[in-house]
Amino acid sequence: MDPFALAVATILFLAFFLGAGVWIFVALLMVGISGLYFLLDFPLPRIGSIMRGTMWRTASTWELAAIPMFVFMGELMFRTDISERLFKGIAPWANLVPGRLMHCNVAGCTIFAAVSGSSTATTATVGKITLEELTRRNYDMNMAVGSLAGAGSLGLMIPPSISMIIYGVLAEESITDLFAAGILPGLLIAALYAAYIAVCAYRNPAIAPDDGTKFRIGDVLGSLKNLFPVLLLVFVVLGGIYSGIVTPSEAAALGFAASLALVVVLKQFTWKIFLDSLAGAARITCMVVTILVAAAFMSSSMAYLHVPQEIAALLAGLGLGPIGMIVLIGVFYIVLGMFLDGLSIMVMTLPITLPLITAAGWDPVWFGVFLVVMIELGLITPPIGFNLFVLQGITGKPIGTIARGAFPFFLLMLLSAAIITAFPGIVLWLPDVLFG
Amino acid sequence: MALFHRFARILSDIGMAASVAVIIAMTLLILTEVVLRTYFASSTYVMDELIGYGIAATSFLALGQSLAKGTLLRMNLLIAAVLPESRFRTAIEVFCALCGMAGAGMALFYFARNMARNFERGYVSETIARVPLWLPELFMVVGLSVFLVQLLSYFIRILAGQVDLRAASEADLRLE
Repeated sequence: MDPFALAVATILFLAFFLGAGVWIFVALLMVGISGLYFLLDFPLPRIGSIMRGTMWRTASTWELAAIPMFVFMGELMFRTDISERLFKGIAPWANLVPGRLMHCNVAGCTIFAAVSGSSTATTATVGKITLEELTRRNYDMNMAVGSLAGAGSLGLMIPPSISMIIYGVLAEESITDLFAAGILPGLLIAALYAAYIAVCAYRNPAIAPDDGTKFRIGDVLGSLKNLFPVLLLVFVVLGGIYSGIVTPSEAAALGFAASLALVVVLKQFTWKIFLDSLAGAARITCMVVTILVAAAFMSSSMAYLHVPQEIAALLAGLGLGPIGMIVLIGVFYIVLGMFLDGLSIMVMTLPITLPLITAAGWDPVWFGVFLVVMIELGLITPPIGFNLFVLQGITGKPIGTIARGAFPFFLLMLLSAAIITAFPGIVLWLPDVLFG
Repeated sequence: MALFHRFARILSDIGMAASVAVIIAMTLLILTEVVLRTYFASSTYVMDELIGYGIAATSFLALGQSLAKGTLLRMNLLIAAVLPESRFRTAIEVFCALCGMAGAGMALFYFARNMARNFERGYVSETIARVPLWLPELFMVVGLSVFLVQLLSYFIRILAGQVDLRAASEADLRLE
């Protein structure tokens, strides 16, 4: 069979198994097995040997150990009153600017993202208290839900980030560099969101009505006491990594211990909370790592079938420049993001897109951040958008309503993707300064 | 049959307990390494290797309960479009379960074969720890076995019409 037909057949296998609703990690295994067995006539023992080898190599990558620990931190925080403290800590400051407490969504997600590696944990933790408070004060619900959907996705961008750990392992890039690279783009997105909320509220004060709540100087200063626990965790995790004292995995273990100690000091420790958080972390790690190992096997299979080379040759024939290539790949990711979760998209496509991107002259660390922005877009686009599902769970509103509220924030995130493409230094400056 | 379903659930719970224990062990090992390096200019010298085995173990030991709790991701466009009561929806679930048994079953067979070979020949890792190579692969074998038992239980319950597919359609809210 000619190589192009093999590539098309592989993509059809993928569409078939994923489309049928097979668990993604099983679907990827089946695509790998089917491709090698039906298209290349490999005998089963050879396929089994390739499968075992790639799965074991990927599953035993020690950098992945940071995942359960970072997820545990988020799970533990979610089960405590930390979201309430975040709200109380941010509210007196947010009340000073147009948009008032609506900014609690963006600021809360930005801060919580610095202790959580997951966007859905960020959205759920911040949303469970802010949405109730904003509803009670008659804030515009579309804006409240939309800003939370958008800002919740910062969990992937602002380190620690599970997506960046996965990207670092797949692309063989320094996770520490990626963690540094995500900070400024994350703050840029947060600033764009805050500015949008402020402009909208300035033009239409009904979005964030003055409910008569007045915060005194004492409240503003006292708010720091509420923010202290989270900021302490941020300091332990990110301070450790950026000072070069510990690796991301070691920072994750320190964060695990620090968050546990914090919960004990705040007198919120129960064995149920501890064990539920651990079980949640184990399940999420299982979901992430099994997809990763299955994708590694599928990638090997695709390499035998020369799929990456065929697609690269096809795109090379288009004669696109670096900007043309990144726009094409961006559109490809946005479309995929409407139907698939970000992790699956990343592990399935990276073996194909990364060589194309580096050949076009883009820095792999920069592309890691760009890819995370694309995945964040996928979180808030229907029909499959995880942040939309989380908010549907909290508010009970239809997905369409939440997606409409999130649409302006989708556009702002697209704008941030354009800005980091025009000015790659926003991504690469901090890793250069910190680690040379 | 109820006994088998109970057995599958207990097995998955044990797998989850083991997975959680491995997370705690990994954390303690990393913290020990940090303390040794920072305060005693020393090292465990085995952290990278053991943590690698640990992450594989924790991921695969949790597979059974992750399946049971609906944490494993699936693309649900087709599932959501089909009526939960319809025969087509049951057929989809049967197909998915069969794929799971084929894919995971094949992985289990080759992991078990390699583990047995490593055991018979007494292979150990080429590091200071000299870990018998069958040992870390044992966790993969156990994890995949628990997953297959849980999947078989799911398959039987689907055929017997004992799974509420309406609830299964909605069980896609997962932390990413």
